[in-house]
Parts: sequence; structure tokens; C-alpha cells
Amino acid sequence: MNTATVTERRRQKGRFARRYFRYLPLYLMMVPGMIYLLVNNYIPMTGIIIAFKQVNFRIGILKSPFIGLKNFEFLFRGDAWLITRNTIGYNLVFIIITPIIAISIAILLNELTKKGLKQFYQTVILVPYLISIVVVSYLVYALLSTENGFLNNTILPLFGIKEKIGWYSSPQYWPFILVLTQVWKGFGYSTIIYFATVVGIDQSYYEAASIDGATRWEKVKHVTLPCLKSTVITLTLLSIGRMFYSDFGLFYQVPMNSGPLLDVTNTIDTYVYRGLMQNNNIGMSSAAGVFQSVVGFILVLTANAIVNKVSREDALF
Amino acid sequence: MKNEDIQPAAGKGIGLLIICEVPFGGMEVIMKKKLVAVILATMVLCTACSSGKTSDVSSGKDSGSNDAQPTAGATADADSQKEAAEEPSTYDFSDREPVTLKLYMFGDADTAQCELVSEKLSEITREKLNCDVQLTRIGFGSYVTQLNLALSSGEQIDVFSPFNLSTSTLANSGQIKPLTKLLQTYGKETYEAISADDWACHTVGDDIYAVPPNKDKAMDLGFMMRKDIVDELGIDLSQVKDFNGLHDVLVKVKEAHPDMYPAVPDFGNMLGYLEVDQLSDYFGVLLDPYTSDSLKVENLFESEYYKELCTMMYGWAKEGLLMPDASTNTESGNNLIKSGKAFGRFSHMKVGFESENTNAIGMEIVTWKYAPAISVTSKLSPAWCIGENTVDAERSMALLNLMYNDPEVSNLLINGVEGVHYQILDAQKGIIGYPEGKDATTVGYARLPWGWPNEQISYLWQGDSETLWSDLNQFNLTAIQSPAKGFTFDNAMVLNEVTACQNIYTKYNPALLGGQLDPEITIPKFVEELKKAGIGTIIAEKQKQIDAWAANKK
Repeated sequence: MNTATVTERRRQKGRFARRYFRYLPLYLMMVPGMIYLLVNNYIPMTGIIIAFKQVNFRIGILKSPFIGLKNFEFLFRGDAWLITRNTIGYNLVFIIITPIIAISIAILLNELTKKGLKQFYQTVILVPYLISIVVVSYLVYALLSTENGFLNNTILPLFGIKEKIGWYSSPQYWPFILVLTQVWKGFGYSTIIYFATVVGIDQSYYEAASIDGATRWEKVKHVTLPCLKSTVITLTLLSIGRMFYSDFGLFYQVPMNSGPLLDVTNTIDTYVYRGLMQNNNIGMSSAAGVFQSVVGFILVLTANAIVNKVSREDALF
Repeated sequence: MKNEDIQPAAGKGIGLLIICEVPFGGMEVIMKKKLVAVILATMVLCTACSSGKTSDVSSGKDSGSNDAQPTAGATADADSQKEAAEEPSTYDFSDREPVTLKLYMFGDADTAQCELVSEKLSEITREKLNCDVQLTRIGFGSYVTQLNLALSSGEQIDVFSPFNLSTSTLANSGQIKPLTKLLQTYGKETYEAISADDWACHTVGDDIYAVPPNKDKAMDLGFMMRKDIVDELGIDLSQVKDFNGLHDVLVKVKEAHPDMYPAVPDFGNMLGYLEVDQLSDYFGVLLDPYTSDSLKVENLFESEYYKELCTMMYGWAKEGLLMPDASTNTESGNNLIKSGKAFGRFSHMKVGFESENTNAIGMEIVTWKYAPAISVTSKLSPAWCIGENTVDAERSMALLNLMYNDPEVSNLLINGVEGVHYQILDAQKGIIGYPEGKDATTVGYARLPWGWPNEQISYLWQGDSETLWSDLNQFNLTAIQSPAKGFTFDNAMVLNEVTACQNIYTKYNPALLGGQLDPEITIPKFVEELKKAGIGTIIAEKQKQIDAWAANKK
């Protein structure tokens, strides 16, 4: 009994060593990436101390006095509730809508049989993602501008609406405009990711389903969607981690920094930018960064814990 | 069994690989100005390392310069006595290592053109200061952002214009050098040429931190417009007495040219300046700096004056006299006028304003003024600073002194290189213009005389009045002096409040002054939100500082 476990253990040990040896080249290949991560993502974390200091460059950052949480105060003042609501609200909507659209289109793409057409659509839907947000903001402006905009001059008169709408001073429309812009710009990229997963699904599942007499819709429902589950969960978890960040370009450039829209367009990033642009305070800007990261970290941990409870094998860690 | 073991793992690996791209993809957005931990922290590290180093070096240098000072001072003294006030004195740096000083200035210029100017300038400075100069110019849009980055990352910056960054903020965060001592030893002429009042505008605590430029130090407010249309409609501007008169002019223009906007904004601001002393920011102002000596800091947005102004603009917008959506327009007012879509715009003005804008727009411009010239602290900006990370503060001071006093250097920096960026049209009167076949857009070196330390020793531009510089001096001398001139607000104590108020200000102010929002409804909301954000605290702090400043002055 005793000797048996010992030999068993020894055999296991040997297997481990052999396995490590076999994978050694892979580990070596990982080294540059690890070094990059360490240098680029971990060492800079020491910079977090700036958030707790009153930086004076004359005496250097390390010697500057600690001022506790004073740098964080401005985040919880004035419009704090509004910017938190906007940041999280928009991100929630993006997190829900983008995958739905992206997955639908990925599945449709997969149903296409002509290879040329498939590639054509793939390229076309990716184009908005590649356009700089500043250009996007002018595309939106071309549509919405009060005087020369396409909507006010061409589309609305078609429906008999003569009165021009001042889009840039009417906050009620902007939640839709922003969501539409973001989805239009971002869905192509997600589609490609989901499409890659869909393509990778083992064809034998579909064959088996066909033999069982499944319709196209049933195949999607019972084969494609379940196979996509883990990709969806991982992507969603990652977006949840960035839920307290907002796309600066989308919320600053696209509404053209218009004051009357601020109630629905001010997010944590634009708030920090507007407030500190003149004041040039490095401590307060890093406080905002630290705050966003900490909240993001907590959100990821929580979401992951929930996934762990619901479906263990799909959790990130 | 084995296969199944490997497959999911591999699948997940691929998934993760793809996923890793996502956050980076999101980051590719330009103008991502939020200085988040990642970028910042990298800089921190650099600064942390380099700041240790620089402090060592500078302390070493300080002791070194103490030895050097007597001799240098003595030569300077002798020189200035010998050469009178005409020629700026040269300070002897021949015993020091040659260095390259870095000069930063706003305004568009091609790298190649900057190199050309740098090369010419270095020829002069190599002889006089034993150093080369490298000039970097960055367009208005990104200047402050890039300057901030450079200043916070510990990069070498020797002499620079902070544009709209406040001297007190820069001084308090230790990003610029105190200049008083340097001015007394390596910048005598400059030190003497500038009045105590003007120096006060850039004094923080006991030290001077920036050199105010010798330009228009006051401003009057008015409306600039196209002369051809004024003439065409037979308008006599001398008959226009007040805003009602201006209103009638704009209505006439609207009737005659329905496709034209009578008034347009400048970068989204319909009225960029108001008839108050804004005291650094607009949170707490002097409501009547023109006729009263009172130093009472008041809330502009609660005032009757502000309400009347907004109501007037709202009415004008309703009549179609203002460009709609003014506050979202990112175009410069001059470009809008140039495009032929606009009649005129509100602006702050100075002597020579008409010819300057006639040159810039290419259409003749006339003005109508509604507020007399006043000198306030902010008109002494943008000043010139020496960065904390300079390689040689003394030589930087000497360079700045040269820029302020040497016509050759001043001309070179303002106008560029002769034959390339300008040609002399009248050598006697010192009048220059663009070389054959070139204009403002093709020359590649933006001409911003007021941004440099001393425009008054440079050439006159074609179209400028021949007496421009003496007129300008007269203008500066006769302008009303705001009772708060010389006072700079240090907002370090109330930064949280200022940040919150700044957001609310952007939300309401440009749109209110652009006539887009109904003042009856909006102003009370605006005031309420400002109060919640703590404008009261800012005003109280400002009042405290201004009282202390006034007591100190007496």
C-alpha cells in the first residue's frame, strides 16, 4: 500500500518533469510577453502614489508631501451622481446591445455561402471601427447640424417636418444618438471576434443536428449559441472591468463639447478633462485614474464571482 | 479523452488572445487626454528617476555658479555701462560647456521652418551665449496638452511660453524657476524695462516667475465687421452708440444678406470677454473695474449685468442675428468671416486690431467699440517662463534677455528668416511682407508677434500703421487700470470647487452668451448648481487673497 503510493507519486513526478520539459519552448516564448507586461503594466503601478500627493516638481515626486485622499474629493462634488449615472448607464447599454447585434450578424455572416460576399461584408462592417472618432464626430455633425445638416434639410422635410431641430442643444435625443454612434462604430470589431468563434465550431455538431432533423433556427439555438457562451461571458467580464471608464472621444468630440448636452454626455473622463484642463493638476488626474481602476477591479471580481456561482467552467479565474 | 482535454483549453487560450486586444483597441482613440495611471505612471517613474538626478545636478551647479557669479556679474556690469542701453549686454558663458537650449512656443509652424529659424538663431547665440537653440512650435489645439506632458515628465524645457496656464499654478507645482535673482544678474535690461506694476502680475509669493511680454497690455471690447458690407449698406458706425444701435446694423445686414450670419462665434464663444475684471477665472469677479476702486469680489452669474446681456443675446438669436448652435462651433471667427458666411464677430481689441485682422482675413475690417481700454492682470499674459528642468537656468535667462532686447533675435523669432518667411518692402521704415508667391497659409511659420517677449522691437508688417508701436505704448499708458491689476488668484486651496464649477460653467455659459438658452429659466439653474458646487467658497477665498494683496501693496 505504502510503497504503491510512493511509486505512484514518483511516476507522477516524472510525468510532470517530462511535461514541463516538453513545454519548455512554449514557456520560453512567453518570456518576452511577460517582461513586456511587467515593464509596461506592473512597474508603472508605483505611480499610484501620485494620487495621494501634492506634487511639487521642484522637490520631486517622492519627496512631495502626502495629502491623503484630498485629491479624490473633487470626484464626489457637484455633478458626481450625474457623471456616475452616465458613465455606468451608457456602458451597461453598450455591454448589452453590442453583443446582441454582433452575434446576430456573426451568425448571418456564417450562413453566407459565397466566399467573396462574406469577405466583402466582413470588410464593410469593420470600416466604422477603423475611422478616427474625430472624423466620426464630423460625420455626425454633417447629419445633425442645425443649418446644413442632412437630417434637418433633407430627411425631416420628407416627413413633412419643417421646423428645424437644434440637435446640439436638445439633450433628450442624445442618449439614442450616442448609443447608435457607439454601436455603429464598435459592432464590426465584436462581430469579427464572434465570427471567428462561430467558424471554429466543430461541423460535426451541425451534421448531427441535421441528421436529427433540426431546422436552421434550431441549429443556431442549440448548437451555435451554446458554443458561443464562454466567449460571450469572457468578453462581457472584460467590458465590465472597463465599466467605469468612458470613451473620451465619444462623449467629448461627438457632442462637440456642447454645454446644453452636458447632463446626458458628461462622464467621468470628460468631467476630469473639463475640470483639470486649465488647472494642470497631476495629482487630481491620477486620483481619477486610480479611482476608475479600483472600481473596475472590484466590478470584475464581483462579476467573476457571480459567474463562478452560475457556471463554473466559464469564469475567468 | 486526451483530445477533449486539450481542446477546451486551446479554445480558451485563443479566446483570451483575441480578448486581450479589446482594451487596447479602445485606447486607440485620439485626444485621450485623461492622464490615466498607465501613461502617468510611466512618466512618474521617469521623473522619479530623473528628478533625483536633476536635483543633484542643479545643487552642484548652484554651488558652481556661486563661484562664477561675481565674475559674470562684474562683466555684465561693465558691459552694460560700456554699451549703454542700446545693445543688450552679453554675458560671458565661454567657460561653460556648450549646450542646446530648448525653446517652446505656440502657433503652427512646420518642423523644417522651425529648424531653419533655430539654425539662424543658433548662429547668434553660439557667439553670444555659447549655446545652440532648438525651437519647437506646436499648434494652439495641442500646445497646452503637450506642454503639460513635457513639464510633468521631466523633459528638458528651457524657455517657454505657458500660453494660458497660470503662472501661479506652475510656480506652486514647482514646474518653473523663480526668476528674481536671475533677472538681477543675467537679465538686467529686461528687469529694468518692465514696470513694477507689470512685474506684480507674475509675482507669486516673493519671487517673479515669468516675464510679461511687451505687447498690448490692455484691451477694449467691440464688434469687428466687413467694411465692404458696411459701405454697401451705407452704415455710419460713428452713429452707433450702444447695443441697440449695433442691433439695428445687424438687422440691416440680415435683410440685405439673408444667407449670411450677422454675428458668429470665435471657437464657440460669442462673447469671449465681458465688461468685468474676471480675476483669473470667472468665479468671483470685479463687476465694475472701469469706474470704481472697489475690490469686492462678486458672483458675475447672479448679477443684473449678466442677466441683461444674456437676455439681449437670447433675443438676438431669436431674430436670427446670431449663428445658431454658436457654442458648438469649433471654427475660428476669422475663418467663418473669410468663408463669406459671416458679417462680423465680437472681440477684445487693441491698437492695430483692424490691420492685423484685415491681414489675417484678407478682407477689410472695421470695428465698433463699446467698452474703453482696460488693463487687467490677464492681459500681461502669455508671459515667458524658464522650466524647472532647464539645463542651465542662467543661460536660459540670458537667452530670454536677448529675446526681449535684441531686435535681430526678436525679428527672427517673430517673422522668421528673411527671404524665406518675409521680405523687406521698405528698409527705411522697417516694413516687411510675405515674399513673392507666399502667404499666411503657405509660408509655414505662423506669425504671432504678441506671443513673443517683445514685438515692439520687430519690423512692422505691410498694412500696419507706421506709428503702430508708439500708438501701442500710448494705448497701454492711457488705458484704465483695473483696481485688481497685479493680483493673481492662487486656486490651490479651492481646486475641488474650481473643478466642479468649471464643468458647470462649460455647461451653461457659452450657450447662454450664444443666445441658445432662455435666461429666465436657465440662469437660476446655473446659479443654483454653481452654489452647490461651492462657488461661495471660491469667492470667499478670492476675497481673502485680494484683501491680503491690497494690504500688502500699501
